[in-house]
Amino acid sequence: MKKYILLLVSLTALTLAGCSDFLDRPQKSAMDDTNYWTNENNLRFFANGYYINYFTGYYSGWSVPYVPLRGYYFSDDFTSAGTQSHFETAAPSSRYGTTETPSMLTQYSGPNWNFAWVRKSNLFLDRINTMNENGYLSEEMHKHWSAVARFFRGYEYSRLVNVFGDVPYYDFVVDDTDMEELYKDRQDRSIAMNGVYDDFVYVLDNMRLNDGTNFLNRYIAAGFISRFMLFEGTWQKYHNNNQELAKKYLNLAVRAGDFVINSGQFVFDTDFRSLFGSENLAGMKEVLMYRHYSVAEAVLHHVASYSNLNESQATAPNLALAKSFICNDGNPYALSPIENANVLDLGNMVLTRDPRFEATFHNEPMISSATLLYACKFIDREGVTYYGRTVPPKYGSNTNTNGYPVMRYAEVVLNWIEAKAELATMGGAAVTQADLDASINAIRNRPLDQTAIDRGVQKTAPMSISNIPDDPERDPDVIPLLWEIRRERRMEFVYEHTRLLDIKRWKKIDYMSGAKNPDILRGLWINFQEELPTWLIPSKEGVLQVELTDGTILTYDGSNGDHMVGYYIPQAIADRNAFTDRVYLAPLGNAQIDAYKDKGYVLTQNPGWN
Amino acid sequence: MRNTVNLTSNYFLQLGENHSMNFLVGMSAVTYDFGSHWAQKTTLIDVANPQFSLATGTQTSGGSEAWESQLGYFARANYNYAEKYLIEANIRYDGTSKFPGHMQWRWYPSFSAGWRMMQEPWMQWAKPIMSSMKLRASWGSIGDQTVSNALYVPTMSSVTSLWLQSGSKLVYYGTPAAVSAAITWQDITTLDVGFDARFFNSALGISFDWFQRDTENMIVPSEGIPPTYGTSAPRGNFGSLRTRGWEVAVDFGYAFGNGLILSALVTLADATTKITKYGTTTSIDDWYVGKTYGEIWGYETDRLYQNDDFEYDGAGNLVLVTSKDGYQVYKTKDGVTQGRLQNSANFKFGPGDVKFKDLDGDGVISPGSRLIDDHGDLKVIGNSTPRYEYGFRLGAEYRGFDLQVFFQGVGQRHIWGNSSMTIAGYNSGDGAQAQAIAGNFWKPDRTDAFYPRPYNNANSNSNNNMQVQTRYLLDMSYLRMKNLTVGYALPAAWTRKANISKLRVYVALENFLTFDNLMGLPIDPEEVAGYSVYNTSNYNTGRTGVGTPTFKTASVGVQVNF
Repeated sequence: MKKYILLLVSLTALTLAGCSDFLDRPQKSAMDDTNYWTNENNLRFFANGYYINYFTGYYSGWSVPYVPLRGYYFSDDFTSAGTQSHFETAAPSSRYGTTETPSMLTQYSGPNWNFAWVRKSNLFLDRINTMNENGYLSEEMHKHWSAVARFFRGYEYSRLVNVFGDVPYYDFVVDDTDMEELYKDRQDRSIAMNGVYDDFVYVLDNMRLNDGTNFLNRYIAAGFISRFMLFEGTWQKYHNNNQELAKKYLNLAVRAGDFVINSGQFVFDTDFRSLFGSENLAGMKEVLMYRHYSVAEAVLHHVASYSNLNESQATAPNLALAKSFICNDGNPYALSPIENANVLDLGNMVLTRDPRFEATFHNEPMISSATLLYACKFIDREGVTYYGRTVPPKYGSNTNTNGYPVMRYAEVVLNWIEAKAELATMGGAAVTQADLDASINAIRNRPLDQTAIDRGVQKTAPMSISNIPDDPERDPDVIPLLWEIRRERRMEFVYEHTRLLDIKRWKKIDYMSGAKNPDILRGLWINFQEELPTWLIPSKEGVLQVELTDGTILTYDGSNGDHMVGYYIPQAIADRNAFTDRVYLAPLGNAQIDAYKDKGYVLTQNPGWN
Repeated sequence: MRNTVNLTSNYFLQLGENHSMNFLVGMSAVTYDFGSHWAQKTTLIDVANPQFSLATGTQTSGGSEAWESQLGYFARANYNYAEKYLIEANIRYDGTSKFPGHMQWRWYPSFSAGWRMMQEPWMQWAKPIMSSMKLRASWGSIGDQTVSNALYVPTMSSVTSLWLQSGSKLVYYGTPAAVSAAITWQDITTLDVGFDARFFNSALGISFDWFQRDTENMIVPSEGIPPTYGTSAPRGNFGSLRTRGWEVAVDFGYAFGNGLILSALVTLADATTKITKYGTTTSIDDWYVGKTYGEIWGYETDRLYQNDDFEYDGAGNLVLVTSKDGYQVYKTKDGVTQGRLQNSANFKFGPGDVKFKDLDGDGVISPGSRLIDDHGDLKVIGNSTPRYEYGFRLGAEYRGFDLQVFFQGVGQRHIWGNSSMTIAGYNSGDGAQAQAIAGNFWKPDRTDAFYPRPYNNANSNSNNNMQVQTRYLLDMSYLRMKNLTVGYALPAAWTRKANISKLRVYVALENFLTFDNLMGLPIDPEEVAGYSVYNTSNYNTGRTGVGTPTFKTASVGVQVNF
């Protein structure tokens, strides 16, 4: 008997051992790096993974990174009650990421110390090249998809440089054993940005003009290229006084803008509010790319709910921002002959300012705003009619469905005209009337919607190159033409991605100091008796304050209600702590610096931080 | 579906009177095949009768498959010489599908030996005292493959994106993970020596073990990969650790002639684990070689700052200066500053705040580079691993009365808290904190307080005053009476008349007595942060002292046997 059992065991053993694939059990429900890269369609599937990170729009759910209003609220445009949020005071103990989840440092409007997207793009490019060598791709496919990968690499490095300045530059997938590369110190920002420049030139030469509706194409890419090249060009000019690099990048911004403008495909055919409040942006000729939301697919966001007048805006538009809106005769308010142009209350400003004022802000003081000025740019006209009532899902909670113009023609022309005007200061061709007509004046001629027309809002008169207004409130460092271009930008992009990065690249972070720019600590002119009598109540005694024209501060005492007329002072307002120029660039984490030291390498901290 | 095939064959051999041998060979094959498929259709016509044919909405479906297998061969030989010397040897040859082809197979031997000393004729003189004595030793290694079967494969999974294109969600394939191509078994080698002895006619027993367990080739992320790599470090067989410990158990049981029965069981065990291999890191926050598992690095607290520790200007205000290491700090009389520990924009160390000891004497309190040879004023201040775990159970019976008591305790354990129960000023938004803190914080008229000046640390447990430090480290050692039972059984002679064979009444108390060193903080020394019956890993976001505590229970019972 034993013999038979032994025989059986040996036989089974032999059978299983001989059957060598008994232990050979590869993955069934996933592709892997060795079998995925076989056709163009798979390249598209890989590229789809970039969209949410780079074309975030209103993101989804309650997420706020890179989201208008909810993520971009740290700049000289916005003010909270109480003490203004401070710049960070010391290097963080740790600051890094290794995942592809979008994240944003609010005080820098850009990504964390994270190279996941750099790796992804380098890996993408490497696999595209391997596929090309293996004959899987036509030349056209190879060029297009290489351009896609290089576009995203350029996008990521541009953002990293925006935040950190110098960064280590990698244009290949770093091996985990290559310590010299992994631990190399940060390199001068020009090394990364020259890499970005080469990538962007390749994109402008090779990306498809059309790759399907709302898929990344050369026009969309050109819009982003103008954004990043304008940033770096002006940074090089204002921070490093490096005119050679400034011109190099600005010229590429102009080239990208020219490419979009000369295509003739894009026009300003949609009123301002509809760009942000509409459910469907398809067919709007100002919109190069948009993010769409849908109840049926359960892809929803929450930005409209924070614009529905009920939800509070704790960081709200301030007087400095409101003042910068130009009067509809084309003059800054201090120069405008329009009646009551210099009366800075809501009623007057809605009527006398550029239509974007009325489209961006609610036309009555709202106590849900820290400054009483409430931004309702990101909701449609109907959405604000539910104040104090039950709000339908599309305007409340995180169930909103309006779409966002991820790249719009207005940004392209504003990047383009600024780059041209900057180049003109460095020996380039002067800005012409035609340039203004193609950009600022074209925007000013945007259609008005019926609500605005009914309220008496009027389009702003065009700007004339021979008669650039000389705003008495202009920063003396800035020439009148650039001042007006910057103003146009500020009006156009309230609560969007630009303002903090703009004042950083212009080297004007001091605009965020209330001591130097007191208007950021004030709201609009208000007559409480007429506009907000519901706040003349006992609980506001000793709390409610206005600033009179002569600078004296009047506090409500219960009996002086009819004297409560002046610039609104947000409750318990206090300036942020003094800050220095170190806040232009984000500090690295102490733990990361220590980790380099541990391995005998050096990771240099940004200047001024410890 | 799991298929398991186990085949073994035994062979017993007896040579003469004293030599007995037992041989065993066998094999084991396990295959595991998993498949799932699901479908759903929305918008039911009748919610009480969910049928696919009675739904009108969108139909979606999905599924996945996975499989794995293990194959092992083994042989064992036992040798027994006259019940005196016992020897056993094992050998295994194991293979698994979870590792790449050339790494799938591994040999694992193990041996054990025992010596029953009291069987020796020359030990018979000790019989009156020592009833039995067995010395044991064993050494063996086994393999562990309880990891994912995709660790060495750069998989690319399909994901449904929340980007809508033409009305439907985009599908994308994710970035392949960084993997190590060479990944194999984790090896666990155990060495154990010990003895079991019984004395005085087996009334007293002592058992002792000393062990050393080496876990080698642990599958952990590669050490020293900085964020510039762009993804998490690939996992591989990069780590090793060693646990050494000992266990003693003493039991005693004796029935006295007068009907008194006494019993006792005392156990005591201790073990520590050290890292023996993990890259080249010397970071105190990483698994540097030589690190004791659970060690806590922190500052040594001196005391609280008082008003006269600082300098004042003519108006009586604190003087703001730039410290040696470049922070805005209030000027101190002794010149030692703590700027690096000011983690909040409006926090500066002043009267009522914590003063740390300048261990490295450089005039500033700092963590250095948090490296073994540069850790500034940090030192190891405790360890979160329970040490010297002990328990004792005592029992007595006498004339129907019985008494059982069980105590359990931990001799040494520290943790750094993370909750309003344990950290002063943890988060004012929580609305409450422990009374031990709320009633004993520093204020100008209570300068001898234990806790510092109140400051809201906004959900951080290691900022500003509450840096990890000796003063507020929680001493989690405790001794707890887990159970006390007193019973009385009525004499059988009485109860038998009612046809009851046993009638016993008893009182039992659970967890009624606890001795701890938590200085009045309302937390349970046995509680595990984040654990409750509802959520075993992150209950209340893992905050200290707000999981489910140990209940105190009192019960009274009657036990009736017919």
